[in-house]
Amino acid sequence: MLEPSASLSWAEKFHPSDGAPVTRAAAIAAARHRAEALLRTDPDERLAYLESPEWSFSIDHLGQVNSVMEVFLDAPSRRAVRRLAVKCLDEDGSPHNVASQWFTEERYDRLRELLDATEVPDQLLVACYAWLEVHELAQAAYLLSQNRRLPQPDFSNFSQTPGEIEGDLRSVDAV
Amino acid sequence: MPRIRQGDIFDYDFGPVIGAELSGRRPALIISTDEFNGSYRTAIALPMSTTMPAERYRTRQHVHIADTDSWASTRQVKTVQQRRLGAIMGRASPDELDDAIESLARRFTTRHRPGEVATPEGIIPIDAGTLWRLPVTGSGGAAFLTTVLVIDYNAGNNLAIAVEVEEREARHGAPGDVLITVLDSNVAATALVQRVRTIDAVERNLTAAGLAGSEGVEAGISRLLSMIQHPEA
Repeated sequence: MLEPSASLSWAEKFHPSDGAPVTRAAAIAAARHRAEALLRTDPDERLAYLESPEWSFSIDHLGQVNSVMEVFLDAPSRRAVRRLAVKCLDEDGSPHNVASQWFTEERYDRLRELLDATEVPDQLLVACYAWLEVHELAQAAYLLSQNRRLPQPDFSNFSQTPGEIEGDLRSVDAV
Repeated sequence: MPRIRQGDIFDYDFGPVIGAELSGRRPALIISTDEFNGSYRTAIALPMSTTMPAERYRTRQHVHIADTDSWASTRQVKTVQQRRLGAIMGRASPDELDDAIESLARRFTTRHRPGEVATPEGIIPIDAGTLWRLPVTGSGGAAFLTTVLVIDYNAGNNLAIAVEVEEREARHGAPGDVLITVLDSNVAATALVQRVRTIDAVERNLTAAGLAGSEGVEAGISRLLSMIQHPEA
């Protein structure tokens, strides 16, 4: 998932250099370390994982990350991901292509702008988090688009038998 | 009975509270397609809450439905009875519906941590593809066992998305029937995808019932998505 070129572009924009010069190799290593640490975490627990001692995010920081993601991946952005998913499927691309195409220079700059307005201690980590969020959104949009192209269940000639109806209702009633 | 449309929100009684399952009387967002709702006496729904979810999980596991100022829990999909749907409470916008369905689909595209369940036979791993006997109580108070196939498991809150399984061949032309292979067994088994529920695996006193072949699990997920996916614009 993480090509060195992508890692470098993240690192150049988001690496917390504190004024000290950072070598290209160190910047790439930092981006990869963060992205891989996030990848190892269960996606549903990924935001909470930022609280672990290695990253020192507070609850308030998590709230800021959450707010940034709501703005960064707003409804028009999510629609754009869906459109790209359909386009990539038409062109035999992969969900990875969807995320890569969506993450334009302008979107990197937008993310940087949003993060600059926060007090998060590690912008590169949040940038990696954002990339994974976009990638997973792209995967889901791609799966749904792909699924629409499979033979669909035919409801037009279907009717349930009384026994099947009773079975369904009994199943829903059973708690 | 009024026509049930995908995106409608109804008052519904999801029944008694069991562990982390969202239960009780609350709004239900209908996510099954209009074709499904017109062919079955049931519908597939997401329970909703008017309480804002915990900050850290909000964007991933919940979708805000502005019309009702509620949150649809995209991790707690359940089949509901159409005739028991109460008053209509609102309607999700097309974007909100897309978000809810996409958030549910994310469960099936990302790799999650498997978990473990304490059973009378000992600690048993639980993940997509595992089969379980689930003790339930019917509306008349009779207790019985039903078999379910887990198609997704969330170790963070022990919630499993599961579809019911019957020991029989799939009925030709029945949209919800998906033939599955039960490993190390010669018995024909069919997943009934229209009967989907979210269960708290720790609180439900499950007993292990085997493993299903991965093709059947994938076909079950694909069929479930076909029953809820929003028509392409």
